[in-house]
Amino acid sequence: MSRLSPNMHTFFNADIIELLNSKKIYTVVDFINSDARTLEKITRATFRVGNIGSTKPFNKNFFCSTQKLLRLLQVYFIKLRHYRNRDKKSIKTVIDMLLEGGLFTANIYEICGLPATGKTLFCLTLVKNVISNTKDNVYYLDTKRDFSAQQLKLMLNIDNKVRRTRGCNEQNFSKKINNRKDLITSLFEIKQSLIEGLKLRLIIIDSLPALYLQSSDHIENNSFLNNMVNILRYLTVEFNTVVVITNLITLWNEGSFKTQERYIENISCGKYWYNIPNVRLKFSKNSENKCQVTLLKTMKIPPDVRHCEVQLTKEGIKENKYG
Amino acid sequence: MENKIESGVQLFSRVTRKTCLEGINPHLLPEGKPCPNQIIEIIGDDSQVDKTNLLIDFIVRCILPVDCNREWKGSTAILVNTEFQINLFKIIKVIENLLQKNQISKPKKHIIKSALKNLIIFNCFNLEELEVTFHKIEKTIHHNENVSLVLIDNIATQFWISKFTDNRLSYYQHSLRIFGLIHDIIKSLQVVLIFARNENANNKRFSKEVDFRIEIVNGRNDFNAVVTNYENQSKICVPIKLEPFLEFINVSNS
Repeated sequence: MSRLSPNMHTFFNADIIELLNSKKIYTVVDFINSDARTLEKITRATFRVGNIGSTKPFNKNFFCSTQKLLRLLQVYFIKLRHYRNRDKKSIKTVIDMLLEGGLFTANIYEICGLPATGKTLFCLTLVKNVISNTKDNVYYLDTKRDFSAQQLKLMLNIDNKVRRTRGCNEQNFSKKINNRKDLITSLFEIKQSLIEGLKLRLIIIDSLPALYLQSSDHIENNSFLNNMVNILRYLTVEFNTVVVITNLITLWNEGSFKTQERYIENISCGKYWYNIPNVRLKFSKNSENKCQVTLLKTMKIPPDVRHCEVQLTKEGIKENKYG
Repeated sequence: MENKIESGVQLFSRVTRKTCLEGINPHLLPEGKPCPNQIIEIIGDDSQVDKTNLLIDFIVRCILPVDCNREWKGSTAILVNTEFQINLFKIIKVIENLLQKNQISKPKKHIIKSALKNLIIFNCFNLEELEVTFHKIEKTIHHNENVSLVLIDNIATQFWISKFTDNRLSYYQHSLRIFGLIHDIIKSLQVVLIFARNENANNKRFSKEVDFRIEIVNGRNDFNAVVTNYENQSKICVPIKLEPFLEFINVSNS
């Protein structure tokens, strides 16, 4: 909650704020929801002097952006052009086809699957591709503490991207996350860096259950997720970034202990989380080196392609050519 | 006689003639509904069904030009985006498909451009922004008299933030509080309010101010919309097929 402060408006000097606080009006929302007459009484100001009762003083700082007219149209046409170009030239692989041309900014992608199905390898492949092909930066928030810069370097070397191997350190900011507070703090740091001009295109959180399962308190867990999602939405929408989060799938036996009838797959992190990602990809292993990618949730309606098969190699995820 | 106090903006909206949304979707809302100031609630369990497509359908029907189809209204819609499941890409795809289906001869680019000019999106990233935005909506409607639809997706997105500060708060109470805030502001501004909630249906009416409830459930085709009209206590079930746009199949009374 944003507390009332003198830098919000010339009307809010220290005396006025003290008067408001004495009547339990502490935040912007308290102020806006208060009756204009009450505010006049408390502050002893007239309607015209203080602009009390109007939300005008807060326009600049607190109202979210109205994306109308040209701004909206520009976003649309850039994306469309981008998409069409990709359609002709760049959609080479099946995962690209599955995702309608690649990862779209302003979206949260979830990569889910049973343990050891190639989720982390997919994330590393994404990092490799961004570093190899663009000058944009990547944030890798590692909650499992198993991010290996050596492996990433190896993947870049194998791929003959020697020129870009240096980018492994320069463009990829990896950070070890120990607990929830670490994650929220890191996200705020990223926000600050973006405001200061950092060119960031991709944020990876690998993986979410490592933090979610730290507590069994349902309310605490969901409010943490709610907070995290609020910040992620802000980062993706306002700064045109993509967030990729890995998540686990758990197996639940439907029968009793003695009779195992069938297993049901559940997405981890609870019902609240289930609705959050814009796109959900499920990874499941077919054989030692092959993995099936299934589109469980998508932006497009209805999807033309739902499955594809990829190979897990030392270079990362290797996809079959499309068409 | 009861005295009714209203703000200047409310008085201005009451006496100003506006585009109305009557007949925007005769499959779901027959008999020329909804009238201005009516409220529609869309519910459903998001782990089973997706309400986003129906919300997009309402947006698209509202913003597309009235001279191309009598169900399109050429009116301005305000979307309060809190879940970020509705994106522009999806809206444009639906418009493109609808234009193709209706065999509109006018330039597609021009229609999309003018339709998007009718869409105002407020992105709300936290509870505070949402509450402040509600106050902004009144001002926006005052400045743009073509606004006839306000959509909120979803009304209770920030439930767990509120729950953390008040342990006894229920999902229903939180939804009702947020609904109360927006309803107080737009109750006589001659606009239709559509809001979504993630809740399984029960027979209880969410609020006496709500005129229609559309519940999305899994169906034989893609899904069904069960529409409850509280005004005349009727209920209809409309099967919906999920094409690139929504196709409403037929109506059966119950």
